Amino acid sequence: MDNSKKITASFRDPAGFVFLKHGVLYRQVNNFYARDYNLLMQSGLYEELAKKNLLIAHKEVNEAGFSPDAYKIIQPEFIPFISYPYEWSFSELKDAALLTLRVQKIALRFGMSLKDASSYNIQFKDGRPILIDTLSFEKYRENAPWAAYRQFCQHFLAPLALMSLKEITLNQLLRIHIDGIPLDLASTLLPKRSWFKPALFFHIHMHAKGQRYFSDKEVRLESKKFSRVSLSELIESLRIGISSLYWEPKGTEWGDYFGNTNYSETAIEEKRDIVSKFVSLIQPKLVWDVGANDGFFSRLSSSKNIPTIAFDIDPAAVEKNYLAIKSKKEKNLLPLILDLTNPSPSLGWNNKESASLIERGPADLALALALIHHLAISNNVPFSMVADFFSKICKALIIEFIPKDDSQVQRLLRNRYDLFGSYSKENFKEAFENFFSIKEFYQIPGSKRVIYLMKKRGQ
Amino acid sequence: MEQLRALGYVDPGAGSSMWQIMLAGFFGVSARIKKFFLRRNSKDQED
Repeated sequence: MDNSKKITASFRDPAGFVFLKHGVLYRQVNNFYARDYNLLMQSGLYEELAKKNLLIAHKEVNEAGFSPDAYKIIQPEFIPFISYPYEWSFSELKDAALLTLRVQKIALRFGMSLKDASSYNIQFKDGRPILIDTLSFEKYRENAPWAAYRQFCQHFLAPLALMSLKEITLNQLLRIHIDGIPLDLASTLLPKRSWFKPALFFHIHMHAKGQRYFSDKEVRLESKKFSRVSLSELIESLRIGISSLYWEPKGTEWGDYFGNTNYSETAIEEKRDIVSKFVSLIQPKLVWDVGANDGFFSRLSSSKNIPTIAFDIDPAAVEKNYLAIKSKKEKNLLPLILDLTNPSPSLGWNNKESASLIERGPADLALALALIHHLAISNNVPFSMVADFFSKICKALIIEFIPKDDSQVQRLLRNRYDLFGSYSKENFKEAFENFFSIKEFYQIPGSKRVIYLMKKRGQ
Repeated sequence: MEQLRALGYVDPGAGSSMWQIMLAGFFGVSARIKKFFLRRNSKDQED
């Protein structure tokens, strides 16, 4: 198998797996899954879901199989960036949950059912969630309970309930529990008032008690019946429960971003124009905007039809950005939660089930605007290490240097001892020039802030 | 329970399936009630 590489994230599924060949992503459908795959394609379900952009479209290709048990090889549409549920904002996870339930409801009409409901099966494409696991469907078995019920509750309902009713950052539990938040843990963490919400009462609290009660008992399901009507009602109950969960983005870390900067309106326009010019010079195919806040500058590239990822540490900023994308139906922008000082690691079996941030790069271009002082001063990361990090995540970089006498830097230094004697433009340039060559720079009028366009050495 | 789960001695999936079966009765009744009200509403509209 020359130039072929199996994507190890899909190793658990006997139905098939994903592999890369000559840089193109394919999915192998194994003989094991042939019957269900044929049903998916012939029942009209695939067409219905793909037409509605609920399931990733694919074409069958004549590529050789990766392994001898190949039934078919399919080539799914390209997703520019793979993200994970612990990087999504509240509404991103909520929309992914509602999509899963909608897909299940449609699948039942076509005599099929989702056999898993993992949040890792959902990705964002053109500003909306989409199911990417074509092999998630199985023939509906009359009177059988929904095989993916527990997984749906762990992957979606529990984290959303915790984010909505307890603490927005609790979606980070999904980093530790890669098959979703255990329901007994969610039940313990949720506040008492959650017992009065019917969906949470049934699907988390009592569900957790049910799991515990039956944990040491022999369970025989053959004689039990779970009718199609009950299954539809279960899906509807989960849909109502998910829809009733809200989170209001307030108390944001950044608040009103432009109200917090020392930029005048003219300076913001100048900065926008120069960043836009630099983006056009690079002509990237993928942009990462790190510290993107509400995505103001990310839109300089996404509006040029360049897929752009807008990372920010603040869940409120990411939520606001996503809601704006939804309401304006923007297509090339994906906001994600990311703490740059502790970026998403590789997780799961053999550290290969979900990729780290660095493994998902490098981007053609990264934007790092009004960020360096937060890394170098608030988090004590030396310039050399910041430069090293950026050299791993991008091939070109637009970075803003904020001098020490800037009011924002002074604000950071207000309550701390100044250990940052080496924080200067000269040292900044020297550190970055070890990894990048400076192509252009521009000083924002009326301020000492400088925006640099750099290209990674050897590119 | 987390450790027993990780070792495979406890399968929360079995409990989930049994809990769904137990819920089936509740959802069956709820579906019948919905059906009743839907019928009554459509009858009222016809009248």
